[in-house]
Amino acid sequence: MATASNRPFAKARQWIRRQIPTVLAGALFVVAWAVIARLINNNRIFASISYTISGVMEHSTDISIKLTETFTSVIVAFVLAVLLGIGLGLIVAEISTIRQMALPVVIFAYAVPHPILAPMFIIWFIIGGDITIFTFTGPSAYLFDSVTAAQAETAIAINGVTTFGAWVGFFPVFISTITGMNSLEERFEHFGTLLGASRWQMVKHFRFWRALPNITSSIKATVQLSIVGVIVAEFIASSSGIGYEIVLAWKTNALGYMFGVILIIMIGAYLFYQIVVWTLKVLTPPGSV
Amino acid sequence: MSNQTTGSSQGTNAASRESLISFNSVDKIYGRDSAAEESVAALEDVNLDIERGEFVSVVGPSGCGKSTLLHMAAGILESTNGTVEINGIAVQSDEHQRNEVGLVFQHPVALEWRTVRKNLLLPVQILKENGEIEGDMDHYRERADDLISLVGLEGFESSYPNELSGGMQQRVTLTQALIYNPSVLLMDEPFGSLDAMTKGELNLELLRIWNETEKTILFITHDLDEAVFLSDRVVVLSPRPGQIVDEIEIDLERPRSEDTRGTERFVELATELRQHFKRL
Amino acid sequence: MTARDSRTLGSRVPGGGRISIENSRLTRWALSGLGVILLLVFWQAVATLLGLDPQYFPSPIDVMDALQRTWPTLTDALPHTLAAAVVGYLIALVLSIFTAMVLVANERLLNALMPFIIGVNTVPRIALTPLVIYWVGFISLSATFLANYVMAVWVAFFPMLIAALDGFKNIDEATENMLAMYGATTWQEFKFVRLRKGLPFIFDGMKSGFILAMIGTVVGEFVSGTFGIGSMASSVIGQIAIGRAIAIVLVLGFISSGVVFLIYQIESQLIFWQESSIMGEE
Repeated sequence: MATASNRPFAKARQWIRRQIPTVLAGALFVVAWAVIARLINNNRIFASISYTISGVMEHSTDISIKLTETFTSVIVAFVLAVLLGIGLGLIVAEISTIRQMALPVVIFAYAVPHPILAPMFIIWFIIGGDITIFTFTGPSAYLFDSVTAAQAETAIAINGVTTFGAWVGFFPVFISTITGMNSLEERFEHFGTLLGASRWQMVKHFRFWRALPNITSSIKATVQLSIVGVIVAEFIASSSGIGYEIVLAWKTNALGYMFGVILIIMIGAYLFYQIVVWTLKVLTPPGSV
Repeated sequence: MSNQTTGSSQGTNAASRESLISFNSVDKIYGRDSAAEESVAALEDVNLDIERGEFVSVVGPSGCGKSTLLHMAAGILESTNGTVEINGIAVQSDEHQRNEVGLVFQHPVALEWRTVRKNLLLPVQILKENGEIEGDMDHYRERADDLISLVGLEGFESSYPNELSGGMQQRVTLTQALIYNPSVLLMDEPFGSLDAMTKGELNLELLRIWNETEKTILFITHDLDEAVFLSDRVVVLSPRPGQIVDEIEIDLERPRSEDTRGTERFVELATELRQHFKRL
Repeated sequence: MTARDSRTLGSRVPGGGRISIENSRLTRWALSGLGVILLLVFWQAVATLLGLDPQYFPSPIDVMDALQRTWPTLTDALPHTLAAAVVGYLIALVLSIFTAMVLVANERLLNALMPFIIGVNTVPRIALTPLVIYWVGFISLSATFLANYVMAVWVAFFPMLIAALDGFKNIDEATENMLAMYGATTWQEFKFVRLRKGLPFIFDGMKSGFILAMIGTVVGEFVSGTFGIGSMASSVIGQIAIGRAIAIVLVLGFISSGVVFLIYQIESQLIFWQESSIMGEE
């Protein structure tokens, strides 16, 4: 208890200590990469660090534009997934008849290997056209002189890629909202009955808060899933995003470029995850994340 | 009921004056080897000798290291300084005989996928595989049946732990410690999580079993009445770091029954013990 | 019996658990069936009443038509996809349990490798698909289909490994003390306690693991274009054949939920001391 007074300093030190394994793992990864590349010594089988960097530099403008596009899609997909997941989860959890009626569909949708649905999403938006909410000039136009504002234009849109990403990310949030809402301890139910709380009041004061830890942990899973969804959709949508760039690199046997793009996606995914976790920690009561 | 154990602490028979469990200047400091946490001294210079057949309770405020004391005797924890010996053999040495010591845990440790009888035989399986005990399995199966009736679990041999009440689960844990017939029984607040009725019932049953099996018992509790009711001797530990600050001989007559709790002497001893706590 | 009651109340089934009256169970089945029928009727009604173009917005009947027409191709393609997914899944399963046992037995090694395992598990592993295909193709161009097997293992392995690790480490202090007390060896710890305590976790991992193996295979087929359900589905995009796309989804979805249901059934039989849930721990 006595240590509570010098909190900030201890906290910072603790944070640094917690990062050590991650930093160490990163450093080891780079070393292992360098060693394996040296051993294989063939850039067509295993790209060395320098070959990867040159591959990335060669396509730097492409990567920048496509990366902006992909991560904009990921954010749209992520937000859609979280909002729909919590919203529908609240409704389905509250109305047990709907919950029971929806169960077979939910189990089916959970068990179906989701990539198989991607073509459906893409076709529908080929037919109907994308719903563009608004467009903005991506950072690539300011970073590179060679990129025009038109080339860097990025759209925040509901399209095949973002809806599919949202679909993939939706399930954990949806299911954990239902599970969390329904695992309210009996004593709180009794407490609510005693006070004569209405159904909405029960949700507002008890159930939602009981579900919050479940929801936040599922949101963490959704980060990765919405990225997976977007990239898978880009694999087959041909022409959009960083996902298609990896396929292109494979088709042109540009291994350095491929290594670089994959690495950038991994780093981007890691950063996005950290940002979401940090945001959740700030927004929710302590102990919810 | 033989009256051999009735007043065992008073029975100052020279031959029985050997100490079965002994703590010799035992210190325990936690977190000393890892730089990450601050080290905490749990126990300091504990000296305690327990004779064969004696029932000794250790009481103390929570966090005083009572359980630590017990876990060192069980060989689960190592002492930082000093030695814990059972039958004159250091617990941490290779010569330590595991079959000499039984431990009754605070919470039931019955495995959910084993029936009562199979849970009861688990220690035998492990100890036999490791060559710590001898005798064939049939012998232990018979013994298991005897123990099941000893603690009043007849008819529940094939039940699973989930189907038993907390008190019954704790009885299973008790039989687990008795199955290989150790001479020492270590008990870590075994009835702490039970309701008062069940607790009283199991207290009586424990005394009966102790009487019939002639075990040496080291009993940890935070319930002062329970300590007085059961023991020959009560040892009082101070708050952290735990040190032995007092020992009280309990000269209540044996065999004891529910009525013992109403006697003048019982109230006197319990009050005396409470006074000790006020001074801590 | 209080222990059992509280267990039932705290059950992990999303519906709040079994209320254990046979009657309500029947009602729940009936409701579930009604839900499916209502969905199909509503879908058919919308398609018919609005006169939607069956090429773009097919009704259930149109989907059944499309299914019938693609059935021969579908049955040709399925064995390829299923073989890759199932073989990859089994390899990943055995490998994950074995690795988890080795790691739990060597705590040092586990602590050293944990950041890598967590790291690999949190990045989108599917992004490596083209690289895996490239490497497999480099070894043998004619065996590109093997990349789908590798993808199944690569995608399913890490979540199953983490599930098995969590399972084997899921041992309370009291039990740990008991094992220490009797001087149990590492192997005895596994034999008597860890393997059993880990089962619920391993089964949860097995259910999501199978779906993941299917995902790995399908995406592998998307990208490499080797014959299978995945390449069939992606070729639908060019032909704008929604009916066929839905038919493929239905077939694969039924197979996948069938396998998951089978694993769940085995799980409920094997783990009789606690309730299982079809969608695992969420």
